[in-house]
Amino acid sequence: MLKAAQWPSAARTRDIAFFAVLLSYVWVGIDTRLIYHWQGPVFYTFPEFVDEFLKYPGGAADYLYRLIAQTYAWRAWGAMVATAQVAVVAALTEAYFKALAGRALPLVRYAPAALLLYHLNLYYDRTPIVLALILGLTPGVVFVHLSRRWRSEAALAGLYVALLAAVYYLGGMAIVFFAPAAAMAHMARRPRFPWWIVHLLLTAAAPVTVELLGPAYLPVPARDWFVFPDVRLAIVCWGLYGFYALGAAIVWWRRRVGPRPERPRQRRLVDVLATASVLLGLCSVAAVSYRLNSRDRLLATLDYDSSSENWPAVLDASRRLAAKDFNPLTLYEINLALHQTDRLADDMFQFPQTGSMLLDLRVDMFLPYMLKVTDMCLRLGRVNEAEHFGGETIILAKSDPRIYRLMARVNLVKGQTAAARKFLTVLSYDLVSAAWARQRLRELNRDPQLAADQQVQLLRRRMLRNDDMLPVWQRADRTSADLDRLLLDQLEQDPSNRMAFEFLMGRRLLARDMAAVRALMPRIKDMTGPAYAGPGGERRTPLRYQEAMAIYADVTGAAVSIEGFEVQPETIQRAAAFKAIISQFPSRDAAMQAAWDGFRGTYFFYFAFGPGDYR
Amino acid sequence: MSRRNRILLGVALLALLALAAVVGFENRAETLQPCAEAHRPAATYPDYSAIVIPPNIAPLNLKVLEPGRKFCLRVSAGAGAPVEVFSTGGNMRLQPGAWRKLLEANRGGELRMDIYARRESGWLHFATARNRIAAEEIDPYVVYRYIPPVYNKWDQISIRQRDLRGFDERILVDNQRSRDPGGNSAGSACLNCHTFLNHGASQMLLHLRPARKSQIPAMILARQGRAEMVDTRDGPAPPAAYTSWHPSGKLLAFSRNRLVQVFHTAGVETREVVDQASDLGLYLVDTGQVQAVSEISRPDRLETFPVWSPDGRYLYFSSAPLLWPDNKNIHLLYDKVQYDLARIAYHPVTGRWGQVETVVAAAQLGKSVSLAQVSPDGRFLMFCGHDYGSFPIFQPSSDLYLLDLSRSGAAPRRLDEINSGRTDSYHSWSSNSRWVVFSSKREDGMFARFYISHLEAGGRFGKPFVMPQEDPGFYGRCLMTFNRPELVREPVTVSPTELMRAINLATRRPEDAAPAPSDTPWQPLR
Repeated sequence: MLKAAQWPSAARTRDIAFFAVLLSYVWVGIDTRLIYHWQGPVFYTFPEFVDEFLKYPGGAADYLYRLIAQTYAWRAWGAMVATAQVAVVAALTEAYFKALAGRALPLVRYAPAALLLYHLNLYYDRTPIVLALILGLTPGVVFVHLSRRWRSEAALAGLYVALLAAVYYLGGMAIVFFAPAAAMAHMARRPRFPWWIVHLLLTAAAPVTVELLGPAYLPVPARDWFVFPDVRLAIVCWGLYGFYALGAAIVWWRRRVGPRPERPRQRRLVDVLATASVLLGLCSVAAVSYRLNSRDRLLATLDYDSSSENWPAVLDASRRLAAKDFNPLTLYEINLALHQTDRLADDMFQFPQTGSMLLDLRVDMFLPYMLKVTDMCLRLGRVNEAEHFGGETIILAKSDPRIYRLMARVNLVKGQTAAARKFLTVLSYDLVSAAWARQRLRELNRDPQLAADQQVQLLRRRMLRNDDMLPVWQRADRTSADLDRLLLDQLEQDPSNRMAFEFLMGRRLLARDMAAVRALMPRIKDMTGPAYAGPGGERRTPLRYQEAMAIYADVTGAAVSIEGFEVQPETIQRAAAFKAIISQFPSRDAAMQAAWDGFRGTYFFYFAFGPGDYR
Repeated sequence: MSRRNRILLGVALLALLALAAVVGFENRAETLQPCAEAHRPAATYPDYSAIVIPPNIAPLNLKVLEPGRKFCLRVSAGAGAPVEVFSTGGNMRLQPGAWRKLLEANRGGELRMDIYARRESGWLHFATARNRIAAEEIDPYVVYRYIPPVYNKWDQISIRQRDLRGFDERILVDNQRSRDPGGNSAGSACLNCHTFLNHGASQMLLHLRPARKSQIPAMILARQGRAEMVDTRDGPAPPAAYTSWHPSGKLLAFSRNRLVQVFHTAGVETREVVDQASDLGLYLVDTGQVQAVSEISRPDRLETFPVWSPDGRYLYFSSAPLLWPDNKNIHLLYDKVQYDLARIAYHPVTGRWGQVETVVAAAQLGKSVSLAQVSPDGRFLMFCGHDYGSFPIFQPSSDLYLLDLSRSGAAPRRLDEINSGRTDSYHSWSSNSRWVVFSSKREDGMFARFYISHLEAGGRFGKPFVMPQEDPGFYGRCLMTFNRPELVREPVTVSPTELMRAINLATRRPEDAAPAPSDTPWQPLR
């Protein structure tokens, strides 16, 4: 209370405004769920998990970081926790420079906050940099304070070594934030004797010794704190290192040359200007980082929404996606969203169909790809393939709960409930998945065969019964899986497997293999759902399939007669109109231009002009 | 320190003390009288009832799976003070010192385990679990491979040594974490098939299957704390895989296997490993020579899993006719291959070989025979019998069989007393031939665990029990598989750094630039 009363109101107002803006931006602009989704720092509450982190320098910070990052799975909690961390760093930064300078430097604390805001925008980083800052700055402040009070050099050296050891063990490379303060404190104390060099050498020696002598396994070597594959991450980290090291040096130099003479100030105006410039700086950083990382955010959003089965949001995100980002993964996710919303058969050509509709069955080092391959196999009913790719993903994912969830589902579908229980038991120690896992365990206890679980029953119906020996897909350059054969097998197993039908039909449409499209079309009679039923419940043939058959009839000159299938007269008329338009123009570009407004998004258009971004 | 800080520190210390007191109070000993009888055994995990245990085994910590507010486990025997432990959560962890004394004082005697659960109405006593403490000890160490349920990615492989007398475990080598003196790991290389000489640990070998183009497949031979890399490739022939030490320590028999891994689209097990080709060979330890023996490397047969008899006079192995001489149609024929158990006589002094003879005919057994192991006293031979092929760990049909070598013409017996409905496979005898440890997927069909069983005088085994862990809930959340247990009498002396040094010597030389077919560990069929 006493402190609050003494706190200058302008500074308090500034802080409140700053962190309110920061919180809002983290909440709305960044959305910590995307950080959690991309980074997925694994954290379990069982005892062996913590044991691993006690074995190496920096493990404690890693553990704490992972625990804190669990809150990112919830948007509001994540925003609050991320903002609180930045606020702690800001407070420590102020204390750090106050300790070094001997007086308050009120605006300095906002600089690292701005860098950390940018850092939060990088959805890929795994470095627990905020905790490293907290663990490095705190002993730095303590050391500077004590260096002023203690007279004994030996005691101070002992304190330095003890703090260095503690910081290195708890925070690993957090020593990079501790060492400059300690060096400057000693430089200020005995300018003629270069103790500070000893400090810095000792600091550098700690990780070098551990890594060379190998007494402990370091999951992240010290080098990774200085050399980054991503230039944006390098800017943040080197910005922070430079800020604290150079800041300490400048403060020390300013103290040596003595304080500048006080000039009369218009305090109120200065405060207003300071607050305005701090907020302006924050908004600028937010705007720049939002823009610079918009692509990452969009890709993360799409994958997150797809994983959360928020299909309309996937389609919404896909509309903002640049043509070059329609890669195999996003393309599959969009087509899956179309399928799940019963729109694939009608609307697939409204999106750039520039690649395969399904993911290749291969082992990839990109975790989201592997998770989606596993999920895709399971959805199709290729349950053994799902288990196979899930097994490979377990190794790649290093205990990521998402693959355990998938593997639990795979085993539930296969009726391997004992193995499913094992995955669910592990998930019950994951803070984010615990409720889901416990619910599944309760269901298993009530209904061991999961007879009442419609999703499980559906997948069991789709699951293959006939064994076939297939090669193991292990190399990117050897994708020998015959996806068409796979999908046909699924239709043989369960003729009502709409996913297998629509994706197989989509593949044949994309290949313009009209004979194969025609051959597959009789299976439409087994399809159900809004895409195959009119408003009154009557049978309906999706428009794109009608268009394909209209083309087939035109090419072969044979009328198409298929049970449960109808080409409406309007489709025939549109086919004729399209043909008339494109026959008027000798060049492809001109024809495309002419057909653009009326036929973009139809199969006629795709058939004539091929794959491309025709949005 | 300011007054305020002193008060805060004091409050924090008091809170810690209070917490410690609450925990202590919850788990404090109580009198168990009076109590009602449940007239049935308590449900526990693991099930440690009606078993025979070694006198030097670690405490059999268990979790009580009964409702209750508090639990007690009381372990007692004819001599010595009973060991009692209380717990509110049901995790019963026995005090190792008291446990050891109790077992030591009661070798050959009975060990009773009484479980009590406190409910609303008071303490409930479950039926006493009666176990027997054998007179013979089990070898104190088991060396094993700790891996995820892999297909062909090997990012987390370690070979570990567990002290069965307690819960201490040491990582002998880890492909990612162990470093050579230059600070390099083995990357994602597969480390496998650790083998020891006569249950000692001073001579050991293991194999490296490369993950990087810069690595070659190699055998790592460790003797008296030093490790060396041996390249056993011979032209297009694959490198050594399954290996067995001759009891003299001067000779190694090994198999060369060209493996194909394929995949089932339906059924419980998704994986299949098939020997496309395999032969046996010899490695002379002192001279470093690799020798081929025509009798056990026939082009028309698949020979694998060599194992020496304890007297060194016979080499046992699995043998099957090669059904795909042109390497075609393996995917149609793989489940038609059944391996016989064969042996060939060997004269250790002259080095002469006898004739191959069939010991167990697959056609007669109706099963394929693999992983034969002769007990150190030479009396019994244990092997895996499964429907087809030579990779039992991927076959739920795999069971353990026992053949009495002392009775000529005796038929092998399926060990129903230790087998389960799921895969029971790799096994290792203790040096006194009284214990076996084997891996089994009986719990869930996916993750193998080690089970220990005692060989009784009549050639029957006691009920197997899972290798105890300090935390009885450990197996319930362990998503790793325990693979290839090897019982040894002493701890391994070679250091991880030394092993990794030798492993990282296995780098490709210029003449290896064109990868030999054997370098491809798993080859797609079509």
